[in-house]
Amino acid sequence: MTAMTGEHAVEVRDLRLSYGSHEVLHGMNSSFRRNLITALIGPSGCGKTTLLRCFNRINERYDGVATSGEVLIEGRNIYEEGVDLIELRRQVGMVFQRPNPLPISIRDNVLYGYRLHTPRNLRDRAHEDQALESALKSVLLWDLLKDKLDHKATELRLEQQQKLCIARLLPLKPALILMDEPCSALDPDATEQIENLIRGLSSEYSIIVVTHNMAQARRVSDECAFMLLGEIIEQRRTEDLFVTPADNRTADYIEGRFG
Amino acid sequence: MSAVREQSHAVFQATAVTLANRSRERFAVRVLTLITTLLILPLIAIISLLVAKGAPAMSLEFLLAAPVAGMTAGGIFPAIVGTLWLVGVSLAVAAPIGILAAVYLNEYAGDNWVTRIINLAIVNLAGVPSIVHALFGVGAFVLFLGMGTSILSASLTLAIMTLPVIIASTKEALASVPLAFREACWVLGASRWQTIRHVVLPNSISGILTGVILQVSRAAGETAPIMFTGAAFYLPFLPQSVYDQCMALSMHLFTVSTQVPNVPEAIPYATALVLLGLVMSVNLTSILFRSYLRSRRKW
Repeated sequence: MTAMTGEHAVEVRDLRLSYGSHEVLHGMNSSFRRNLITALIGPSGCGKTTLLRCFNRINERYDGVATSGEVLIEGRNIYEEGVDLIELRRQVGMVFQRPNPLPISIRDNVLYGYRLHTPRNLRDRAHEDQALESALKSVLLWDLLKDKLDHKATELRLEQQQKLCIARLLPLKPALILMDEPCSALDPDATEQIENLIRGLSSEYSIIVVTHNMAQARRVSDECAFMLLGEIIEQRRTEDLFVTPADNRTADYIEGRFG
Repeated sequence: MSAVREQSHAVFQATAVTLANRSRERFAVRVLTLITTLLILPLIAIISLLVAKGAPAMSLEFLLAAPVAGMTAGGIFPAIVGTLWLVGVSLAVAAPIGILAAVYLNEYAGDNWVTRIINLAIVNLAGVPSIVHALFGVGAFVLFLGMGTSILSASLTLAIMTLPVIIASTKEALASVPLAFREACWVLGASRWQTIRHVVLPNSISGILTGVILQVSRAAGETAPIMFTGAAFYLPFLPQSVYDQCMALSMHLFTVSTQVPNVPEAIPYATALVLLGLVMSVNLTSILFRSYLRSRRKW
């Protein structure tokens, strides 16, 4: 792996993507800084989720996508030949709109990714327990759940499920965490909890969050990129983007004139 | 103010139009209920007929003895054993192949012309009449592969017949596993096979088994495919291996109803009752098993 150089976790160069004959991303260029939270905002259909899904190439699991251009993560173009998708997805974690814990125990959920990537003969209970505890502590679930680690994860409350979905990425030590509207299925209280959690994680991880909620982008992100029709219109410090937008379309969007 | 109060008399009162609609609604519900209720009549009629007419012949001896006196007396034990052989061997072949094929088609195969041809072939295979399967079985297994008329030939013929349905029902069971579970695996770097083994199969096993078990009734009931390939009219001994011929309930029913003179009327009815009882108890077991598995899953 290339040494962790430069201040960018992700660099996007001339990225084009189409579903069949319909082009969704039109030659996009951008970069996302390390150990910061970057929010992707924009109206529905602007391509923000599609862009996010380029960063772990999970787009390709859905049918009929053609991609060209480069996406550099940790200095390597993930679209170049020889990139192992499983290794890529181990290092680039993702959280979905609806929490999707597996229908197995809390313990097995948190350790699922860890076990996938640790050969059987190198696994031991002590390591697993430690990984489990530290992952659950990072998402503030340890005290709540430490006595019911064998309960089914699908029986937890929704925001606990979402925290668990974040926790299960952590034992893999991801270089980048992608979040696709992680709070859109949650109530305001739970949303606040997840937002605080995301802020807490940003000291250790680079995070990109897609959201259609501008207030959330404002609360949670350090940098913000406004997307429209498959292009990034403006990307700056969140404060600047919201207070003094440089582009008229950005201003119109954040003031609610469309979208 | 008074205008509003005057109006409130008529508000929410049925008009001529709503009354007409309501009577049409009532008529529709009655017709639909009647038709649906009528559907269970044939089943009740069949079972009561079989019980009424077959009861005189039904006894423990009938179940556990071989036919005697040119099949006009005795029991049907060899036919029961033969049916169990045929159903067991055919499912032992068809279930693993069908499930693996369905896993490939649902989890791996992309949407291209090869897959489309395979799917088309499966659909058409399901539509082939059983007598054609029988002739294929004779040509392929009995003659070409030299298996002779045997349990093996007959079971393989039944297996080919049940395979498309097993594939279709398994695919449906696999497809019912939520995409969210698969996504959870993908983003953690699970391979497709790991996803299938850890998540897809454990969460679809009840549906898969139900589909497979329902084919028991199909395999047990068919006569044509086994007639030329491995089932005998009458055998004085029980099969010892898959290379022997055997008797079978469906075949025996056909024989005693149409091929043998002077059979007491109760014997074919009792034979049919046993066949039906066997199939229905297998189905009932599968239903209970499925509801047990369903009760354990929480999504």
